Amino acid sequence: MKMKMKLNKIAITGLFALSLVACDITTVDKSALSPALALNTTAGVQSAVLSTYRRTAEFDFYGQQANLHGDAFADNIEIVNRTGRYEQEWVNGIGVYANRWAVSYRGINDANYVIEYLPKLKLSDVPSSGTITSQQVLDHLKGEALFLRSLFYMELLRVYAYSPGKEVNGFNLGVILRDTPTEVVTDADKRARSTNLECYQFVETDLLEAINLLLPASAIGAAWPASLGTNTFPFRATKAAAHALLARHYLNWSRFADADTQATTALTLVPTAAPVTAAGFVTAFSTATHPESIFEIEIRATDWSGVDGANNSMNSITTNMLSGSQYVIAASAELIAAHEATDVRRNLYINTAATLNKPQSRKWPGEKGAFVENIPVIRRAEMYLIQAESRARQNNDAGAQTAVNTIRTNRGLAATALTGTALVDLIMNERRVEFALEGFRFYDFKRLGQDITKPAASGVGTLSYSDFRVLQQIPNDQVLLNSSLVQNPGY
Amino acid sequence: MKKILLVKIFSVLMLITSVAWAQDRTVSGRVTSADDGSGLPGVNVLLRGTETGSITDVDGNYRLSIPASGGTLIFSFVGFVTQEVAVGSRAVIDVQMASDVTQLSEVVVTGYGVQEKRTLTGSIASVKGDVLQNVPIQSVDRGIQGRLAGVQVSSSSGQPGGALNVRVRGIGSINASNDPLWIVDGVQLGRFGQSTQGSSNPLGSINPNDIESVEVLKDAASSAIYGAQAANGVILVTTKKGKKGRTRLEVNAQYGTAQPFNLYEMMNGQQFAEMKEEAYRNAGLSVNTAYSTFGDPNDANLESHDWVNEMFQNGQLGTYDLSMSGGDDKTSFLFSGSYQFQEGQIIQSDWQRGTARLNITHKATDKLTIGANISLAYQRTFGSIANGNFVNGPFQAAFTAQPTSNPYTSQGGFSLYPTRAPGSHLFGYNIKQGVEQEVRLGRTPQTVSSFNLAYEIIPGLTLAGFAGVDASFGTDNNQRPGTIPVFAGGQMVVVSRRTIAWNTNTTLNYSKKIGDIHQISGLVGFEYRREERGGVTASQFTYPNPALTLLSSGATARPASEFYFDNARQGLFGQVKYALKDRYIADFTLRRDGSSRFGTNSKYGTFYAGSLAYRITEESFMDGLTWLDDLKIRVSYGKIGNSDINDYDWFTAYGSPAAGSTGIPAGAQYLGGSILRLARLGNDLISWESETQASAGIDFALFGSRLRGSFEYYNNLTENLLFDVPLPTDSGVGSVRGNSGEVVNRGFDIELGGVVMDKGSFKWNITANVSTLHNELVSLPNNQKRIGNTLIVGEPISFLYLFDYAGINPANGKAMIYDTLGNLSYSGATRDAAVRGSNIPKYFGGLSNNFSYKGVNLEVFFQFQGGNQAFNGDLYNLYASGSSANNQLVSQLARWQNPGDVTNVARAYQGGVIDGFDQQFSTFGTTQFMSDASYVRLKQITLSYNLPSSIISKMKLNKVSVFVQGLNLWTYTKFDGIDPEVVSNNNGTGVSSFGVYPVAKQFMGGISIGL
Repeated sequence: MKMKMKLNKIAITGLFALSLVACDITTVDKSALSPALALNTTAGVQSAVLSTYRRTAEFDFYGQQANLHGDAFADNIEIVNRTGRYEQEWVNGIGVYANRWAVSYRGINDANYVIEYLPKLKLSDVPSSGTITSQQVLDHLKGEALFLRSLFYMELLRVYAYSPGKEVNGFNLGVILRDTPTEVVTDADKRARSTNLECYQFVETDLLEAINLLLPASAIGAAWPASLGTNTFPFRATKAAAHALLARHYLNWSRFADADTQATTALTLVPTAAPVTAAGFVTAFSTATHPESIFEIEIRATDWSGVDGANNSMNSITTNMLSGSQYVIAASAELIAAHEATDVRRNLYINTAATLNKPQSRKWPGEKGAFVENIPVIRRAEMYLIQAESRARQNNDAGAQTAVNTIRTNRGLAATALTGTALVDLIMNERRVEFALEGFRFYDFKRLGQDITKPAASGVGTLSYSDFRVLQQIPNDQVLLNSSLVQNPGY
Repeated sequence: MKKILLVKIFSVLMLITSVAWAQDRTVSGRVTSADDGSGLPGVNVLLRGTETGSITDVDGNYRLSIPASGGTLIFSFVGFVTQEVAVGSRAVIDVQMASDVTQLSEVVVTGYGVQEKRTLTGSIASVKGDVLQNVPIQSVDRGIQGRLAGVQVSSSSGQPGGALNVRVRGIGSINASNDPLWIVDGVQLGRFGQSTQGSSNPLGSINPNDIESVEVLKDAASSAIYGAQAANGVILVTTKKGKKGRTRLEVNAQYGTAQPFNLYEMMNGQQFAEMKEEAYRNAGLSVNTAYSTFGDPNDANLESHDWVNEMFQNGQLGTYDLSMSGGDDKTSFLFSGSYQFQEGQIIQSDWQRGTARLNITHKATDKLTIGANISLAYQRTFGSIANGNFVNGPFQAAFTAQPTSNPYTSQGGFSLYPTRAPGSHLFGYNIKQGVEQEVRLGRTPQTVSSFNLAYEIIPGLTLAGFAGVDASFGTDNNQRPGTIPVFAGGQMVVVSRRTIAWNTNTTLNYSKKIGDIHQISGLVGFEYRREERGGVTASQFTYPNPALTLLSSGATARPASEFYFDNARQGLFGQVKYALKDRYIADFTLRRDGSSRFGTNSKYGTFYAGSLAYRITEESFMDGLTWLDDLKIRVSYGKIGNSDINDYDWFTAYGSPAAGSTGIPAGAQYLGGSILRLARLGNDLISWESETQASAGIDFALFGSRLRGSFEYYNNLTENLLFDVPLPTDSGVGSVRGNSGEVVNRGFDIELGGVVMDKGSFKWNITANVSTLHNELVSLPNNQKRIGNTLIVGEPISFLYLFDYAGINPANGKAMIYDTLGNLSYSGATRDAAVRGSNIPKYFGGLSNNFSYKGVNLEVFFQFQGGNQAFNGDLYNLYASGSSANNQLVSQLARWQNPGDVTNVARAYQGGVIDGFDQQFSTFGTTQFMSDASYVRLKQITLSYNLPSSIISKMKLNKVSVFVQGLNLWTYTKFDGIDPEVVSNNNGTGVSSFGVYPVAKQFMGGISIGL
């Protein structure tokens, strides 16, 4: 039968065709590249820098917790809505706060990739502009990575380690230091903590190098090569920001003379040195870019998924301005009482039935809409108060008065003529009032080795500096995983 | 009458082997069923000791030429007892064949073929289509729940059309998938591609009424032919095929209701306001604030609203289907269509499906057979937010919503929630409004279709080709209209997704019987599979009117995102089977597989299995034991693999952060510039996870098959686990995929069945199965003894790590735990928590009773599991002694109030943190919220009545049956949540269930008509 033969032939041909179909099992991940490919252009390296910036806005970093824990651990806040959030922090519960570890090191790894791959770029491929050379572009990007790496290490050190010279029972461990990226599994070796002094020196070295590499605020902005997109002060690091961060670092280290020098230099490098005036103080916090910012993290609505703002923004946690807010934290009675009579900073707090009759802060008013706002990380006021404190602690009362009065006169207060300990106390109170809900309060006690005062409403009394809870617990799973990693005492 | 297609294949073999023979006379007759006297088509009629044979025609008639000397005819047919009849001098031999309750001659589907159950050497559990027929289920996995030993099926959601977890012989993987490989008519299904807007099921496109049988390949011997995809078991779903004979039509319709059951008993307005007043007073807060926020308990006019009643409902469900099947000598077909809908027991949750199928087989020539199984389905799911502490999910908020807040305004619109202090609870989300107005719609057209060719080169040697595809192209719409206050302006998210998984194979089959002694069969083949998934998520905000729903109507542009994944596998395989005298049977399988998911030099792996069976009853020395119908011993051993991990884990990926789960990208920019970061640390050495499976079993049938069953022991060791090996997080990387660690699963699978009573027309059958499971983590990477508090060597791979709850201190109303030293404590340190129980059941099974009397049939089916604990996350919200803004269980009224009160409910205290001590111990949960999740459930009762043929023949019908049935009618459990069947959704979070969608109670009535 001819027909049959034909069918059979077709069938057999068909079968072979089937079996020969694609014997290829290679696939390609279209969503990503290898690091070597991804970072072989200047734009690619810059995108890695921008990733590092973006990490600083995460909710367990400056996006929320790094700005609020420092107040909750000390005496600046009261829990107004009992949702469970910040309640343990408020009473200094044991091991309530272990998130800073992983997020910081992810940022550090980002920065380490930049530092590793940046030298592999060919200078001739690096864009330049009329005023900025290719080398300056490279230097600036590296300076940014060093600046950001320092920011993460400083945040780790203030949470997990004593300041050098302020050790309790001689416990002098810092954190784990990494300055190269994790590219293969063996890079993720199990390391021990360096000493706090080694860590502080590491950060100092990084920031000094960053100061040399970074462009001043005046040289970026429009001058930045157009092909690399936006680089605008204060949203990216500048020479001023690196000086300012180093000032903060020296203050944490109680190296007051160096702190003063760095703060002073920072103020000479910013476009406008003066702090905002008394009249503009409250509105400065509802201005998209805080006029005092030396370094500020920019946030856009697109950075958050639908519920992030309501669940986690500082606006949601500290106010009930929008429907769906958490409104967990109000100012403590003690913080309100710390304001002098004419202090315009008192006007940040609204106390009405709508705020459940608690002083509700307007420092985080979500001015960009739907809980969104930028996060000032370093403000000019901090530089003045670092100058003031450093000078006062070095018995330069006149210099200290000049600096603190620059702030006081711009906050609706009379200039002070106090001296000695009284002046130091006044400056510390200025810091408390000025930086409320910016995360400094607890660490101002800690860096000085002082006992931590608590609000009466918390029922905790004073937390002794020697109490082990002054240092936070290193995540327990990390200690279990890495036998070289020594847990903080008491945990 | 089953497996007609297979019978046809056999018959083809028979015809071909009917070579010329000395034929002297003709014998003919009719073969009928002893059950109903109807003619049996397709019965094999063979002259013993020869290759002379025939097949009965449509009416059961046969005709055969035999030698003048006569001989013995062997009549055999699937599902019936084989008969041997001496011809003698007769020219007409009519035979009545009886059903074979032993099912020894039953044919089961195996990898790339079929086998008689009698000669199986591996472990294959099987469910026939009649068990699935007309049961109001949406997918076949629900139908096999409790029916098969060693196969644990649990709901992951009660959403109509929702997903289930199927686990074959335990849980071998920690980070790779534990889902079995589902194969429908040869098509290896994709695991993904379902709607994102509610739980949905990968098997959802297959109408259970189209299914002929489901076979679960449980051990290496039966599944090793699938090599690297087989470690989690392989489930073969075979759809119905047409049968030779006149075209038959069957129509089924049923309708019923789905009802909620065992919901939490919540406080009314008065009770709630009283708790809040007390909590505020105890915490030193103003009771006036409590009154203004939650209502004043002293107010005689205080309102009370039952949110649970607002949210739950009795849903409707219905199924309508039609099938036509038939065929002639060359072609057979099955054509079916169905429409099914089901509303959930919660408002705004429903599912609809339409299916169409054409299965067709055609003998093009004597040697060439072609066939196609084509199915089209369209599913429409309106999903619920469930399985988590979601304030916009009804299973959380229906219970937590404050009873003193009216869902409605006096004008009948939706109120701002809660009415006294809008925004102060549940993010101001009025759950009734939210669920009524939010659109969560998933629409998925899908085809699971295949095409095949078989060419018989010489008798016994067949070359076959196969191509199949599982393709779906879905669209999900999530509209959050601006009428809901928190979504001011309105939001729309559209996900357009596609999944295409196709596989082809070519096999060469050989089967040869040498005399009556040796039976050899073998198979070699090559297979290729590729799966590609992709999609685009786009969203737009700010709409002029909620009725305008297209993206183009929104004013605020939102970023779009795209995903794409693909993977490919190929394998070369072979199998040899040898049976000596039908008594000693040996089987060996080998497969080499490659997968795109592994490192450059580690893509390929070799897998194998061997098995032996010994049918003792075939021995002559057993002939005296007439009560013993069958006794078989089986052993098997093999190594198979699992590659079910993410597609590109071997590759170190530097990229932009992935889009968030809602489809809105998070963190993809800074200052308007794109960002790049390490997305994944790759490991170019990763390769197959391998599972060594050993099993031994006994199958038996006694007393004329009044009692039959099997006992089997298995011991499966999974090695080189595809493990997320933790790295120190100070490296900036949390984990890397590696091959490390071992897990063992072992236990017994026991199946028993029997005829309890068979008197007159009354018959009572029982089938039961029970499986035990011991699951244990044997080793971890780097010889670690534990990883955090989630994996500990020597423990099961899923456990509850909790503080030991010690009750409420009668002196002050504070919750206490026992610390490591056994002392009472108000707070716990890490060291005080320990393993308190496991989510993994130690045993599970089912028990089915079937009673029949004349045309009446009653099935009563129980399903059970036990030995597992569950941690009920709902209690965090509901068992909190009025400490939060959530409504509370009525049980909270028993809170501590005065020194000396002995109770399990802490002192009411706003915030729940008394003197700095969290009453719910925030770091770990306590055993207070853990309970025994063992349960026995009356899963199904079906009462059906077949109208007698005397009546239906007058109506010119073939069959009429009416039935009523109920599902999930009764449950016995000590579990303190809603449904012990839906308890493992939040594994890894330490919580077994939180806001889960429970299963519904269903009542149905229906009719089935055949003509």
